[in-house]
Amino acid sequence: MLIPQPPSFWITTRLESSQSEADARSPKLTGSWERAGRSPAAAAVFGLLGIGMLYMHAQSLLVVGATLVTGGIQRSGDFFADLAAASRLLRLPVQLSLVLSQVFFMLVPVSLLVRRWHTSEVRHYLRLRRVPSAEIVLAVLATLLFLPASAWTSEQFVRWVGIPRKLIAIEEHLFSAGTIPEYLWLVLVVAITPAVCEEILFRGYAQRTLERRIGWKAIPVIGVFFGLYHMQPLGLLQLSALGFLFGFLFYRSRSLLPAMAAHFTNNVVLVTLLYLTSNGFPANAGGWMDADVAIAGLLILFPVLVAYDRLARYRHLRAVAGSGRAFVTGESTDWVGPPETPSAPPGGRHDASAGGEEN
Amino acid sequence: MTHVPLTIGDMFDRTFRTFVRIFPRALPVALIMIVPPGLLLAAALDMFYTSLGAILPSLMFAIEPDPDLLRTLFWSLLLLSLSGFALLAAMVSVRVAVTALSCADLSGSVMTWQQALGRATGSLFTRALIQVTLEFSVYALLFTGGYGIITFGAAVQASVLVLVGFLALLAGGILVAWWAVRWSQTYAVITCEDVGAVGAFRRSASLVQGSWWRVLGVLLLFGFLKEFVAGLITTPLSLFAFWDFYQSYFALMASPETAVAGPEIFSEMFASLGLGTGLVATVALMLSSLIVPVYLSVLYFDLRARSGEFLPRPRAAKASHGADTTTTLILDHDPFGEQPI
Repeated sequence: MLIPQPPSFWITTRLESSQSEADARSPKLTGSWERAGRSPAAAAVFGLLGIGMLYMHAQSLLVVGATLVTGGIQRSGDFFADLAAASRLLRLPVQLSLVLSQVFFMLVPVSLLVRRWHTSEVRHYLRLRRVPSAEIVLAVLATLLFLPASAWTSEQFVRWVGIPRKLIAIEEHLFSAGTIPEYLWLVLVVAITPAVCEEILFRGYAQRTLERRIGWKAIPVIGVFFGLYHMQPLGLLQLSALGFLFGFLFYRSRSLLPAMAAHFTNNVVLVTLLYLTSNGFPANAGGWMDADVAIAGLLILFPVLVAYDRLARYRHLRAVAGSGRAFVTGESTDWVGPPETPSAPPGGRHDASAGGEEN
Repeated sequence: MTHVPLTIGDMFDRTFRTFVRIFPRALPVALIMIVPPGLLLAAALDMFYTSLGAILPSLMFAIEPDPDLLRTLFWSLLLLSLSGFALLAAMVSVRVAVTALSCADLSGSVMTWQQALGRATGSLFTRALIQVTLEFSVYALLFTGGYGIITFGAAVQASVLVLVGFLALLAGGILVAWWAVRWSQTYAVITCEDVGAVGAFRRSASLVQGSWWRVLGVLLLFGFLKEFVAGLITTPLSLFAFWDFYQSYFALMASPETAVAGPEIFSEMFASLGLGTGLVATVALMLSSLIVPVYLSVLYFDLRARSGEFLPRPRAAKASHGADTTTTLILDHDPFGEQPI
């Protein structure tokens, strides 16, 4: 019987049995969530919501605390001047609270959650594994190609709603640098920390856990969550699209590193732009991004993603062939075994540690 | 379906599974019941803010306002009150329907959305509405006492009375929290056990008895999560719902530079608030009505399991005759035909 196949773009290798390679070996799911046979989708949703809620509240409290410690500003009567003074005063506290909240209320809870609910092999579960440098290069290139479209869309929204240039400049002042040390500090705050912490939460934990239930459909779901989480209504579209991109990179390579590299690239470019234009116009305010450049970027992005897809797929095929294991093509998931952890038997719990698992 | 005391992880899992299963049937009920009063509220808010925006210049420049505008404002307030009550009633009915769907699902039965809609508009709805009215009347009375003492103390300029009033308010708040937790299962009791409005208070309190702190913790945890979800969805929605307002607001901010904004911008800002507020309020209410009953129903079955209501009991009559000594589960409350396991 002929079975309709998904488009070749989405076809990947599904392993019939666990592989011997370290990067393809299944983590032993011995955590409390797995032993109870609960739904991976529920774990992804509640993990994401719980940690997101914790992070948002913790960050707000840290910023409020920092505001109280630094004290207020002398009001001059000029709204923009007062706002700029507050922005200068709160710059460092806001940046510090961002780093602290991302590390202690996002990164640490995710690793604790994985250890408690899923497995003691935290790095393995989160797919923190090496990939060939070509995949990293392509991930970075894809992000660079996406950036013009993202910047152009932001400009359109800003222009459409009519945000005053002064207000944007004040907001960007929070994350702009005047000197090289300031720039390096901002790279740590704005580029490295979110690239590590957010990717571990969104892709490493949430997408990876949801993939066990719904396969590639986890990419758009978590991508939209990623956009919503930033609580920036004007950036929802661009951030969700970025979430799709990072999700795709993560899904195809089965490693968190390309997504981290892409996220880092996106943020570091924005920080660098702000640094380079610190004495000039605000980067979001007007007219510096051409629509033709944005369209050209998107047009080149597509073949780059196809190349990335083929490269990652080829690596997997070669790894499987090298290990002497059989493989079949099929659904676009790296799941080995049934797509969902079976339900707990009535009135009891079952041990999922020995069951087939995904890599 | 087996009902045993649940851990928090089990509650997450069961809530998620139940929500996913009943959502396609709960959504039509929510749309049918909430959207019409939501639209009415949006129209009333639009009328209210538009007339307020039109009156604003006369208030700013101390001119006698147009009597027609005042009349429109009055009617809009009346319509606002009516639509507000209609929306609250719709919320109660959707909660009844979603609770019925959740209870059926958790009992292993199947209920169609039409059956759920029937429950949302039938006698269960009337009972739930009476229960909610009684419950909130009690809360209002508790707060009114404190406010009354404060107001009286302020009127006669007696600081001691004001202090006593604040203490009464605090005590009222604690009592409200205590009762709110005890009565948190009233919807489930009315819907799943066919209990009357007054009896639901007693039954809910007896279920929560001995687990008050646990129930409080679960309610807070799920409540915060629900609020977070609502925030994630309504934040971008607010921007688009209040697009005109924000445009006016930013134009006002930029006016020292561009000098495009005059006093009429305030009228425009007010006029643009109504529809957006109605839309966001309706969506937030719908989300709440779809999510809250699910985790409350899961908690309801957990509390029943903790009370030992699902424990197997020997059939005394048959056992005494020696005809059948097997242990059979007998449920005290079995509205959806749960089968013995």
